[in-house]
Amino acid sequence: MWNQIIGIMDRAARQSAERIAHFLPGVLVLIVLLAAAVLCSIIVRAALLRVLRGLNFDRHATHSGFSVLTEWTPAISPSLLLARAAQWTVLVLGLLMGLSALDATIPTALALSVFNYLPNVLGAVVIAVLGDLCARLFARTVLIHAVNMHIRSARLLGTAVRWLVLILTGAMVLDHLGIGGRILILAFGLLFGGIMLAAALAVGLGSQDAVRRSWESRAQAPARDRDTLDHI
Amino acid sequence: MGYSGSAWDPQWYKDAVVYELHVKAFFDSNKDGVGDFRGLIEKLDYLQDLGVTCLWLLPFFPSPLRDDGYDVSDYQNIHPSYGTLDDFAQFVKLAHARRMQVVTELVINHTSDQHAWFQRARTAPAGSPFRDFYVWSDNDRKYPDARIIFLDSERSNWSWDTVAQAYYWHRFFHHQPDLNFDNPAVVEELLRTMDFWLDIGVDGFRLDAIPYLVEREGTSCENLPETFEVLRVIRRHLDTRYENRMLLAEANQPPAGVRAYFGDGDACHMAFHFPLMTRLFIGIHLEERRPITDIMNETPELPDNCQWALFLRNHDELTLEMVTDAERDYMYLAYSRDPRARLNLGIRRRLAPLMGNDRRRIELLTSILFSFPGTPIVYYGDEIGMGDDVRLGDRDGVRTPMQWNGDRNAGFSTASPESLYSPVISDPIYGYQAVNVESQRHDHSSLFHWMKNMIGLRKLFTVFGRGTLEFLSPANTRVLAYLRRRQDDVVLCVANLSRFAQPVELDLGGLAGHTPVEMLGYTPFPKIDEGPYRLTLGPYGFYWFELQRAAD
Amino acid sequence: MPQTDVVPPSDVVIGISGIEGTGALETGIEAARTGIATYLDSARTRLVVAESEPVAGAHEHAGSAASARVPVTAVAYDVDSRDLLRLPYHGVPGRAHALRALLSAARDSGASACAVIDASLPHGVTPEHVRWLIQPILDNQMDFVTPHYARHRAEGAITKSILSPMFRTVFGCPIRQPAARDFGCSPGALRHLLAQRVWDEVGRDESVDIWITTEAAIAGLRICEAQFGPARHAADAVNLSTALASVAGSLFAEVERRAAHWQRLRSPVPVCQVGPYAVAEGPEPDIDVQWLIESFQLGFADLKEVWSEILPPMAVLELQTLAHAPVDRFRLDDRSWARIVYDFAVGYHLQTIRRDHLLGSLTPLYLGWLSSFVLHTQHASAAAVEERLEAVAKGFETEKPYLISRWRWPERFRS
Repeated sequence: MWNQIIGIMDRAARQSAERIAHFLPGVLVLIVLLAAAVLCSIIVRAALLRVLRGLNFDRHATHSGFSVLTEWTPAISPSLLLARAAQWTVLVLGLLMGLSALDATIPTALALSVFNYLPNVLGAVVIAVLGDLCARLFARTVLIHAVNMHIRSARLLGTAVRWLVLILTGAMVLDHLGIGGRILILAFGLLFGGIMLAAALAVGLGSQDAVRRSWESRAQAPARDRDTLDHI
Repeated sequence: MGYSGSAWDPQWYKDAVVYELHVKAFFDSNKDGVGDFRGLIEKLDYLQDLGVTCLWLLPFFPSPLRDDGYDVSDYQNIHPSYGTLDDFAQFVKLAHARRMQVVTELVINHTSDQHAWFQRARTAPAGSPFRDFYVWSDNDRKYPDARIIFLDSERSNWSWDTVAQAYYWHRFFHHQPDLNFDNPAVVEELLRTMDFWLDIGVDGFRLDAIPYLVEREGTSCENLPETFEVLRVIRRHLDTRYENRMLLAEANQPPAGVRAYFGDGDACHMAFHFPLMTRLFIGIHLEERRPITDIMNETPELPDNCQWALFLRNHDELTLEMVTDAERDYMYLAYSRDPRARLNLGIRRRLAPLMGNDRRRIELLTSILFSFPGTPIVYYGDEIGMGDDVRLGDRDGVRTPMQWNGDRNAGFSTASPESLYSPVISDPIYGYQAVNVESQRHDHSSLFHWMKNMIGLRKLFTVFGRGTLEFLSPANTRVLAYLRRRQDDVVLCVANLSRFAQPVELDLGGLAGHTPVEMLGYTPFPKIDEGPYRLTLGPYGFYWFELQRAAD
Repeated sequence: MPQTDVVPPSDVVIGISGIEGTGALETGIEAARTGIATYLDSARTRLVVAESEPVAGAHEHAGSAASARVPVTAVAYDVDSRDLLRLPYHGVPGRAHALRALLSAARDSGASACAVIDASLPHGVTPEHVRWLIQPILDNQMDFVTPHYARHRAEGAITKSILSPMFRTVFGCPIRQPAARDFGCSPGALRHLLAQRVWDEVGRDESVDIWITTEAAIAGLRICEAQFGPARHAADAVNLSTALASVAGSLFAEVERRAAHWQRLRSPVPVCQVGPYAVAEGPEPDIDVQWLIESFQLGFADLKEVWSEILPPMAVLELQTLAHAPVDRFRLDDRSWARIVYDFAVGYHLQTIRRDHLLGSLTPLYLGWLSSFVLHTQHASAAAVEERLEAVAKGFETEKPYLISRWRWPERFRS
């Protein structure tokens, strides 16, 4: 009996040791990966900051209508904000890689799924911010160009472009978060198509005059259209 | 051919608008509660927007910080709290890219007692070259005629060193032993230090406390001919190896005494005009122009390549060393009823509190600063009318964090408030919720916008930096009026030092036929004729007129 | 031509730039040769052609025309790949480098006069160019000669409405085509231009012509305007809003750069004029005023918000009145127009909004001016049109204090 007890204890001890031996490398890898991630994140942040400052990003960002960034965080410069976002992304990625190394050893499905989801959230935030920036910029650029092209519904076109970009952004954000699935794609397709149709109508109706003139001027010879005027 | 500085004009400092700032107080980028070079880099756009063209940085070298960095323990490095040498080089590069020059401190009179040179000197045998880096004596009775400068904290210029078993000489705090400029090795080392910073791209140095470089028995140990010779050696070295760099002398002396620091244009390029600053404050308080005109009349002509550096307030106390006893008493009564505001022979307050937070008086003094012959220096925070905190020791009350916005720590740092190097100003009048950059940038009628426009205007006219000065003598002595001329440019400045409206009749006979055009609004005034030119100025009002010839 | 028109013997360099392979260069060289033979001493004159790569074209050409006494030298220049991305309003990438190469060649040869002519222009190189760009320098000790081509009233309207009046007022130099691509210069002017530091700037191609003229004007060089015959009609290389943005942007950039100088200038100094007075020839281009007015009205309806960020409220109000005015009372006041252009220059300087948006939104306003101008010069004689343009320039001069005061106190109309 004593032998049995000894045997069981021995087995138990061996099993525990085996488990620990099985578990330890994972922890070690986690630590190493985390350290590497911290290092990488610092390098990425520093490099990005340097590049952005070299490009004079802050100045361009403030002067190019990208006021959202500064509106959100008046105390932090846009380049610093981006650098920080990049740093945290790298850190979280490192953590995830570390956890996946642990994955083999301990089943922490919930924690893992949460961490798996984090990059999606981060990515979604970045997409949303960039989308908003692009929407404002494109809308005004399109508006000015459309007016200069004598398109009557220029404002509608500008608004359409803005909403198009915003909806595209929204769809990308939701897709990135994994919300909605096929319904979302369907809804997005419908909306997108609707706006495109509206925009096409806007261009078509707005520029019918321009098109008519263009045909007329082609029919007439010699061409003495206003477009051939030497303005400079 | 030397290494060229960032400016292409050798006399760039004459047209500069200098902004004096402390790296630690400007912006903290790494949440440690202390400002740093990366933070400063982030705020370069702000400085460019303000329009200043030259940044003068207070000491940022490794130091035990017992005298706010003026106790340097390593001349060729950066204090770890402020960043690294790479950060500094990056800052210089980015400042130059924004067409701003960079001026740093060269604290040459003394080092910290923690400096390796001093540690080496105190253990070296007496009379050895290492020992001779500093000034030693067996007794504390040498140079008895040298005054004690920091009266409030020091009893003697000599202190006993237990390791060296000798007295060492110090004109300032006892932990700041004076370097021995009779030792050629010391000069050699300093030139090497200069080269180190000039090679990084620094455009000039403010030479700290230079009247006290050399000591001689039987003298006050100030402004000695040997001291001027050291300056010439420094300048020769600068001119042979580099181009378009500048030396700025800090010599708190009467104007005639400071004149020697310019040499024949072969010593310093610039020097501070200390007495003018005091007289401006006296003048505006007395509502009387004579203190100002008198000091300017006593101010000697400078060599062609030299320039005065003008300021209203700086990082030190408003020094009253160079005024008469009566004037000093007047200043104390007028500007520091609160005895806590006094320090040594001076008043430790910022511009806005000194002016009772009266926007018109601040603008009036600034307009004189920008239109007098010399290069104006704006102390950080004064462009938004920041306040001070007299409860803080020494001169720390005027070195509080820059107030960027109404967020925690005035937007200066995201560290916890208790870890800041100094508390931010938080009183109801000058506190960061009321006075900050963000709100003033949004408010188009703020002091910030006024300063920005005035700096822009001054930069349009080189006559302010390079022209001659000629005072007019109207009967009403509450009005200060002067002409600035350079080639065809004539500018007339008129300032009412009084709190009430004042009429004035100016004798502009020689300028008959000219039309005065008010410069900021570009409004033409009635043409000047042979008779007296009549103007009325509102309380603390001032005008700058561009005098346009009729023939134009 | 009478013999007396031939200049005395001297070293003269005629530089020709243009796009290779189009045949324009060859034609230009021939025309210049004719001009040199007619008006200059061929033995002491040299033709220099700028080539973007050392191809043999010009050399071959020089060989084939061996009978001509004027030899052709080719100088090479680089076209920066970044410049290729920014098509200038004249459509010639690498132009700044080409000009620098030509000017350097002229300076190095010790020429006492140099002319630079663009062979890719629709009017091309004519013998008259050689004459009028060089003679004022040799005979009248001028430093810089800039051409003026006679054009129909609505031709070159950007120049007439913005460039020339603003240039004249701001830089005190009343020349009518500050963005002209041909010019003549003295050795002093050559040295001065080449000594400037801005040649290598990216995007310089776009603005090099305006920059050169500005530099000549503010350096106090003696400037002379040479009258040329009618310019041959040609469309711009790029569309209207791109051309306008490019020209106005270049001008505003110069205005910003030279602020300390022009704010102290008072009235323009007259420049001397040479060459025969000429009027535009050929049929006048058909202008659809209704379309122009509609473009302006459309702009007002859609870009009002953008304009409100640049213009003070009063100006927007005036534009609103104009947008609702009937055709017979469609009139943009000269002084209002000058203030609008000045406000855009201040907005450009302050970067109130993105600069490309700012310049893009100027197009409908310009079309508004153009329609007002065309309507009011409908049956006018050439002299009356000149008077009208003079009134426009006077409007700019009258409003210069407005520009200065807004520059110095930008917030004054915004809060």
